[in-house]
Amino acid sequence: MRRTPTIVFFLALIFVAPLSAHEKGAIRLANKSVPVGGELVIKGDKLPKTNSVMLTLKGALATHSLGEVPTTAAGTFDTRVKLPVAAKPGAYVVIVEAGDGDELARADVVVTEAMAHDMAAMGHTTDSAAAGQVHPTAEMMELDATRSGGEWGAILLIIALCAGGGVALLASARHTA
Amino acid sequence: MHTHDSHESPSGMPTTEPGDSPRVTAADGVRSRFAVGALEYRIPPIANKLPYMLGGLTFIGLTVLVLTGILLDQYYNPNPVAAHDSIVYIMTRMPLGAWLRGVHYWGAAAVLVTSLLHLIYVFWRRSYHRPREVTWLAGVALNVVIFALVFTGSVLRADQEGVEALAHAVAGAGLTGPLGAPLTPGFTPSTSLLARLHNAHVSLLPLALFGLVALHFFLIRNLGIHASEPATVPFTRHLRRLTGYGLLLTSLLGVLAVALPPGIGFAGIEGVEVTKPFWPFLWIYAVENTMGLWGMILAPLVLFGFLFAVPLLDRRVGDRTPSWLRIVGVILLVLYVGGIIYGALAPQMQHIM
Repeated sequence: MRRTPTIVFFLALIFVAPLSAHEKGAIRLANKSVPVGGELVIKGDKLPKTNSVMLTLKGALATHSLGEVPTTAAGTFDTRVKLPVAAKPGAYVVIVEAGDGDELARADVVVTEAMAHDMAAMGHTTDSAAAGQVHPTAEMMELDATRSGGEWGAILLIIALCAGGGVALLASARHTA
Repeated sequence: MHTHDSHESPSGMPTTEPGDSPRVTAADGVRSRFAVGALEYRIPPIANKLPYMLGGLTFIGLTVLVLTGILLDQYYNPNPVAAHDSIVYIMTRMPLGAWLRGVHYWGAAAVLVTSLLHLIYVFWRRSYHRPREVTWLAGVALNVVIFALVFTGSVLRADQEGVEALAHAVAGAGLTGPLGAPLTPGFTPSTSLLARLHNAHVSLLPLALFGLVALHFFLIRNLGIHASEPATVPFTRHLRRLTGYGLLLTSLLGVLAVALPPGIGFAGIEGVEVTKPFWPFLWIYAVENTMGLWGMILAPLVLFGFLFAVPLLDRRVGDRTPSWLRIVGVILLVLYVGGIIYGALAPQMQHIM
């Protein structure tokens, strides 16, 4: 008897949750790779009609806004966006979000190194282009690896359990020997 | 062979006398269902001393590496343009990422040390002798696979040291002609060399590793260890002590991961040599400094070739190892350790640029 309300609850979740979600859209990128600071052509489809969506360029370490784009009555858009120069070379995902933050569509893109003359053509001086290049070095990166209280607790608990368990097993082994 | 006393059924469950009420504990249930009784075969008491547990500690270290590796691999991206960033993400944003990476790093160091000590101890006691030659060969092969895992793991960092390590390997592969073809970027045009090495690190090499471990354990179980004492204590006692030492080792790795966390270099740039290799390979670097690129091929060939040949080189009947064999072993060990120290202290040199 107690199981019935639980089962009904989870069945309701299965059917109700999709009703409240946005319809999944799709985007296509004209190029799979774009140089730093270059232009990206994006076409969207099956998106909320006569509305506006947010474009975001998301990488492993940084997220960059690409602006807001209006959609047509058919739920499409066709736009060109200039990638921010701060988006360093690497693998990214272009994400389309609704006004309430729900993700509607995504597509992978790779940002590649820009050649110095391309940087100049985009309005950046050669000096700044050279300054943006990374020189090979054997040095280690300085990273902020601050731990939360919960992480410290988990680490100390694991270490304590292993140490305590080890000592207990060795003590009991000595006792039975 | 486990013998059953009169109060146990063949399954290990306690039987009852007429009039008794059965008392079956949870431990009895686990014991019978997991055939724990099969682990109570007898072994010599000397096996419970720490030097005889070095191989088991190596296995526990490998288990820690597998567990931490599985967690880390959920966040790692083997795409060459994203690999380094994913490691930085692991170190700065993955929950417990920096610590798990530290445990993985120090676990690899621990496995290298315990496997080396285990090999030295087995060699010195002449435990490779008949009938344990295949046990020895499986153990040496395990060491080769462990080195391959350490190499592929260092390349996956995709920092300057990792990029140069990969360049060295590709240059070395070029010297060996068709044998080195799989280690060249153009071998499979559909994917990158880094992605293939990632596959080797998480799939191919662990499969080889655990296949060899299974063979190694099977032979140890059935041929017994090299000891003059009779087998009088249950193997479960050895397992209990080994697990205790293993847990202490794991806690030490956790402490090292906090106190001495491994760093990462900047994203690697191809076409330059500004770093030295990861410390387990400094002995090869030392030979390269004197012999050039061919040192990278010859040094491992000489060392592992000697180790594989040991059972063939010592076929003497009796208990004593030939003196010359021990002398050669000691010389190679001194050169190995000395090469690492020299490589760490010597100035950085270019070998392929």
